[in-house]
Amino acid sequence: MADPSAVAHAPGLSIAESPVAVSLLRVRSPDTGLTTALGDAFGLEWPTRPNTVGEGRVRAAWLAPGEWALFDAAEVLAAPVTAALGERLHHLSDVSAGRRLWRVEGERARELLAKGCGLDIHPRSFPPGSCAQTVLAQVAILLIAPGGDGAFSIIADATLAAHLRLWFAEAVQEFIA
Amino acid sequence: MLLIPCPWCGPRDETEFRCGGQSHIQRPEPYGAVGDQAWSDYLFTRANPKGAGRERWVHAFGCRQWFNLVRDTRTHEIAAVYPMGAPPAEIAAETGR
Repeated sequence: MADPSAVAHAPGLSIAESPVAVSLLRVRSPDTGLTTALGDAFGLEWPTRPNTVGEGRVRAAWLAPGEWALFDAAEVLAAPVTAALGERLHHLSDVSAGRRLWRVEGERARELLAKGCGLDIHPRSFPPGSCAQTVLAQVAILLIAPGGDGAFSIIADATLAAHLRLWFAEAVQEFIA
Repeated sequence: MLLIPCPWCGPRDETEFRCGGQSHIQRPEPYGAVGDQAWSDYLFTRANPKGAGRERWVHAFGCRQWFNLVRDTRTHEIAAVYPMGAPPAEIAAETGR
């Protein structure tokens, strides 16, 4: 399943699932010198505030203190990360094979997600450039607020993909009728 | 459902968290000199306050960070949130037995 596959459609709503290229970067006690170097390496303002996303040559999402998700192929990420961090002990692991991505877009996307997610995702409290690790349909997810592309991104464990696929298919029903 | 203020992520649903029990439990030392009573107290004896108590919580479904909070066991009111390793938070009126 190389291409995004449609999970469900409804008026004002589309949900597509695809593989995702993502690596996790961990650094102990990151300082501003280090985050600046990382930001420069990828041409973005590095997300140092909790639950924010930086967009440049890659998309970087804050996960925890000293931990980020970087959305690109592992081969692309390795060299700039190594160059930026130099001798600093760090850990970059490709977890692409273990994750799936859902893109939920449309004017009713927020309504749909609210059926399984307790987080307030109104743009007032979850503006573009926000991300959150939370729960959707009892599954731990990374939720990224719609940016220029207008779609919520949801990243979850591949082992739980079948469950989420079914949940989306069922949750979308009320929007079809 | 409690709304727990994670120091990193802000207020989140209780279901995203796991409670790690009482905070500030010190392992008795030195190893060779700890008696059975002190050791069993360390392992098993816990405060059971009717009122404010200090607890460890982890934001298991979020940033996975541990922190301390002061929660009232009668009202669930959360009076303070503070980092691991910080000295025990003051509790206004200790209501022990």
